Amino acid sequence: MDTPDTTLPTPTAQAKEELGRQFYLPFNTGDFSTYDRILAPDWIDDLLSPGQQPGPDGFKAKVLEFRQTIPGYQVTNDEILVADNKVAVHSTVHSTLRKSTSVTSPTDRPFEMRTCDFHHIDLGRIVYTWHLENFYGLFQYLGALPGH
Amino acid sequence: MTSPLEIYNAWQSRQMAGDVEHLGEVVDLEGFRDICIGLSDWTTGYQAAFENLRRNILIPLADWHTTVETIIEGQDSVVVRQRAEATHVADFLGVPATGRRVRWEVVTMVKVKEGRVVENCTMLDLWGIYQHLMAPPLQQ
Repeated sequence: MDTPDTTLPTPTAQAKEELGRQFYLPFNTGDFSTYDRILAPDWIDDLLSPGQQPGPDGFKAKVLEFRQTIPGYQVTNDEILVADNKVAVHSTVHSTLRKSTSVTSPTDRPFEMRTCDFHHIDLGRIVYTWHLENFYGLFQYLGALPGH
Repeated sequence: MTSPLEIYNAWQSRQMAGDVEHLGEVVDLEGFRDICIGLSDWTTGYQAAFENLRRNILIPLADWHTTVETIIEGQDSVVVRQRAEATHVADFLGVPATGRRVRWEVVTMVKVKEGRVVENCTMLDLWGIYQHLMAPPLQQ
């Protein structure tokens, strides 16, 4: 992986927004080379998912797992907001995942999950990402909440 | 007062103080759209949104304390990430009161128009809260 060029000018807000947008492309395309360009080598993912190794390579493996586990995994960016060195992204994860219970009906909608991420940018790369996903909604949809 | 963050702060302080009389100065009370992902769907009108907030969050989770972690402010919107903690005193996510002090993270995205809040989208770490409430009690 290349070392970031520290002589690069400070990215514009538009460039930061584009950097934030590119973060989600591999979820949809499976082309993980994007992360070699946009993530710093010591990028921090806060928090790591269960079983995820730190750094870009650990994240690539986790995204691949998402794509293999959840059918039709697609991320749509709903809102992107940029200020200083931070980019906030609200997204919706779409999939063709459907309930596997006997109460499933043809009118049931495929699963959707809202997410929110804060990316911190330095020297033209994402150095830190904090994220929140509505996993409660996912497990509720799947009928997988203990005690329910 | 023109900054989205200033408008957001004024809204929050008036709401927490119960200052209904002056709330309309910073919130579009009729057109206000609100959602709390996982707890309530989109509603229109401040009264409906506040009733959802009261029923779904303020009643079951008492003695709140919040700390702002990150603020990102745009021209007509502001996103705020906070750490929150409260005591679980009534049924929440189907879990009866445990009396536990729970901590979680929450993101609020607010849109403003003509000096007033017109939209609020809140996302709590419901899964984190649920796991905390369902965890076996620690052995003394």
